[in-house]
Amino acid sequence: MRIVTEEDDGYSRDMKREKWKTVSIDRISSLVLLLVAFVYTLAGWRLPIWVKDLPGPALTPRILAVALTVLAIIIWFQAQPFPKSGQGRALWGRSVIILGFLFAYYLMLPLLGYTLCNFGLMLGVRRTFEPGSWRWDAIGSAIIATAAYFIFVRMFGLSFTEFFLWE
Amino acid sequence: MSITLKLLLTIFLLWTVFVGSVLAADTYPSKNITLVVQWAGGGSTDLAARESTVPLQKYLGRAVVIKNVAGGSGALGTVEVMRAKPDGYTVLFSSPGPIIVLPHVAEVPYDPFKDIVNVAGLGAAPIVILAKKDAPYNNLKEMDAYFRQPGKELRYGSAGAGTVNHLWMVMLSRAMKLRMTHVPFPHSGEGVTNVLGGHVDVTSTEPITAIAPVKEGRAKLLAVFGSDHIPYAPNVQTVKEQGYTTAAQDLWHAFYVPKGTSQAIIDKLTEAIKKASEDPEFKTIAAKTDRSVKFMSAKDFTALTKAQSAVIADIAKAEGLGKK
Amino acid sequence: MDPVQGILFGLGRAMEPQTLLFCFLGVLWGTLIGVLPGIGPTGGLTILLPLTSGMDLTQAMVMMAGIYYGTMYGGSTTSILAAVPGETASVITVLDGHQMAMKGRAGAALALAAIGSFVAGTMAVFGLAFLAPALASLALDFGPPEYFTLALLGLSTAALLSNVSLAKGLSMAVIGLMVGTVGMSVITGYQRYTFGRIELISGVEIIAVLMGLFGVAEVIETVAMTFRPELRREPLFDLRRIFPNREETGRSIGPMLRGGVIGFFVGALPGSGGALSSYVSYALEKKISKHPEQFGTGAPEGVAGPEAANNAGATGALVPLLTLGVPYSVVTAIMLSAMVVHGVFPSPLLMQRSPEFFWTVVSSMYIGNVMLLVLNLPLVGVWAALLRVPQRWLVGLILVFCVTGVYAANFSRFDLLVVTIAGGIGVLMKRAQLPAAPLALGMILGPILENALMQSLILSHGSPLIFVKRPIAAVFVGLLGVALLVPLLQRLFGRRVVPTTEEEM
Repeated sequence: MRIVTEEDDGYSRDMKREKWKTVSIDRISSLVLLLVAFVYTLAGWRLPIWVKDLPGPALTPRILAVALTVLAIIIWFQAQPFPKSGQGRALWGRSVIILGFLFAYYLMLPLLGYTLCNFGLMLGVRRTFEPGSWRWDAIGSAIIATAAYFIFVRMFGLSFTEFFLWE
Repeated sequence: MSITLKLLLTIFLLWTVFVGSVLAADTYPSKNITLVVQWAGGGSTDLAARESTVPLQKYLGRAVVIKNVAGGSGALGTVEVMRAKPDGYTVLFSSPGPIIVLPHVAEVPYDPFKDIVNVAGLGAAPIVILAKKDAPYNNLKEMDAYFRQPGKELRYGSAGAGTVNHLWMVMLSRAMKLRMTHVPFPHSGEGVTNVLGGHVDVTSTEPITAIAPVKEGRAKLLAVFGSDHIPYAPNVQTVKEQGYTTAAQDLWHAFYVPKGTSQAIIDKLTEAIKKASEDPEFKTIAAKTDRSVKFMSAKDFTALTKAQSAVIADIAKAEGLGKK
Repeated sequence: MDPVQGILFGLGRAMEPQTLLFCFLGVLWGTLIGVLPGIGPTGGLTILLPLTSGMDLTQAMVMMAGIYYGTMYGGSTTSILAAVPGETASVITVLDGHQMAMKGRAGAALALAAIGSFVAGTMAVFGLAFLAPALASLALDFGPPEYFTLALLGLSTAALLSNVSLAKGLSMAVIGLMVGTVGMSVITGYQRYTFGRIELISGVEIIAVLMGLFGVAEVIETVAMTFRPELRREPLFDLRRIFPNREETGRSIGPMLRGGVIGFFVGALPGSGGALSSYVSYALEKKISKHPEQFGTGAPEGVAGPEAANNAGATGALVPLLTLGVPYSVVTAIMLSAMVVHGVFPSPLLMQRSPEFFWTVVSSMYIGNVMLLVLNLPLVGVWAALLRVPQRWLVGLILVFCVTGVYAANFSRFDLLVVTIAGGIGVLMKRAQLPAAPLALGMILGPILENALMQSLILSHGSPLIFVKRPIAAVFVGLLGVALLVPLLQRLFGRRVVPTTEEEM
């Protein structure tokens, strides 16, 4: 027999927190979209909507911003109460790390070249996700980076020239 | 160190620098040359570049390899050459847009007259004015008369606001003092189909885009911008012949090298390009795509482009094609 | 010569050893290029361009056409295996194709894509041979107002692309449209949202965005969630289990045929090509399916239909080239130059004027489709086996692949930054259950939509009435109205039309 309290409206406490969480996720999305529409309009503020009796470059952007605002408001009111379970928790740290490696790739490519950057990327991902031993991770990454060089640069003829080491 | 030694050392160093540059020029080209094209493969500029590699390779004695660096409406390719080593192994094959138009309509990180050095200009790539076959006018004068009637509006479809095609047409409409409603399309192909479909009245485009509908009998040329007639439509007069003087002359392709390239290397390139322009095989191939390959020396060419650039700056401002 | 003679003649010529060789080289190269995300037919053709200049025209065309639709075959591979869309035309395949792979049906998905492409490709070749001139004339009647209303209709399919609310789907489409406004506007010559960067003058590279939103985000999801659905292992040599089972095949036949028809007609419209065809096919299949809620979780119709459509669309895109001589993409421009240099002029009368050329090319396109099927079906097992690579290595591999592909698209370092940012945004979108497919649709349709709108307004001097005054455009507006009103009315009367996420109690 369950003890009923005022708080208990048929949902357990956990599910109630989940409900709050998703409603808030959808609401966050709505706010973000509103922000996007706002920034978008601001960035294009100086563009003319009408140029000498002809439609100007700001016409479509304004229309889009209005549409996005309306949709964002609808999303706010349509926020769903229940989340999709089975996803597990999100590890934000890892997401940022992977993105960080990609950003590093972008920065390092002219300095280190294609092969070395691939090596770095592979190694970075290996160490972040189910790392094995340093030795094997490094060896595997090196093999893959070299293979990528041979396949894409040699065979396909993609040129990554202007770079320092090994194209 | 004794003074004599210092003197000898200085002479030696000067000698290596001098000989080095001369030697470099002497042995130029000693490896493959990269010809940078500012557009993706398949366009008219790319095609022209590829056709020119054949005679160039013959006269330079080395392979000339095309590198497409597209983006930024031609800016990225130009920048690539601007930043390259001035050793004569990276050459830009440029279309008019990035040189005379782009700097007036966009913030570009190069000055086409200072950051790159012109080697030579090649050819004339004319622009044609196209209308539907059954349009009630056959040349510019008739077109002018027709659209001056009350209620008639000249709808012109261009290959994009700010493109050379468009600006050339603007120059013409000013010379004709005729109002024109400009409908921009993303590429010249769309302009042509819209003319065929009757959604616009005329368009200006490269001959190669117009060749099919004209040969086919669905469209006709009203005029040609340039000094030569088009091989597949020899009776069509040029804009000038029809009585309108504009600054709109032939379009061209040109070779540029980075600033700082030695004059010796530039001279060698110039010579090769000149010989290429006189090569009969090259002339025949170019004629097939309706280009001529007149050679223009750097001096003449720079004068021409400066003049064209000035006119375009004017028009750009008037048409409201602003920077940012 | 009449069609029957023509086909026989063409087949005869197409079967000549040299032509066959070039056809094979073309489709092989096309498939390889298609598998590598980012390059696409443009890059593939450009790399081989020097070779074609010395060749006989017909053989050159055969090879180029082979490369072109070959890439459509290969493009689905990475979409299905790794959720990385190779080209814009393969985005839709990610939705259900990758889900099928997660359920252990990667082989089936790949096979359905290949078979669908073959069926539709063959249909399209016949369409090309017989319908091209009529289509071309019809296409000419499409002016800016028609394109605008049509694109708007296409955009409305955004609602059907995912199982979340209409507002969420549309808002993503709008964001896609917004991203599409970055760059120098063809219409006005103004630069918008470029902040002075020359790399942005031509806009944001869509391949980079797609790879980020789909590929990178998917990898991060795999890496950064505490619970991951286990990738079911593919049976290695058991052909019967690798290939589609009876149910999957049965459900796919209709979509393949419909995809072929839709794809061809949509592709024949100047300016669209394969990508739009696949979206339309997906939306259609979902609308008429008896189990629409399965779309997005691995419905075979969601793979067979769009893949068929994009292949038919690629062939359809040759219609304006061959009949009007007007190229709409770099690929067709290259083909046009080749033709003109050799003195063959495209026209609706091409069939009559240069029958040898026409029928040989058409027949070898058919043969090319057969070759592709023969090439790709055995490879299905090979590709599917790739999924057996341990996930901890696979994710890194996918990232390397993505990065290479993005760079190969434009050789622009900036695109790498775009991929990273798009990846981050993609992850956030996934967590918030905001669908990425409509965003891709928005980016694809954006330029078309806006250009058509502006052109129409210029022609009508600012009056929006132009969209209803012209007959074809008015029809589309009507369809749009129906498409929007019907769900609205149904909702008013209580029936849910748009499936929502299943509530779990």
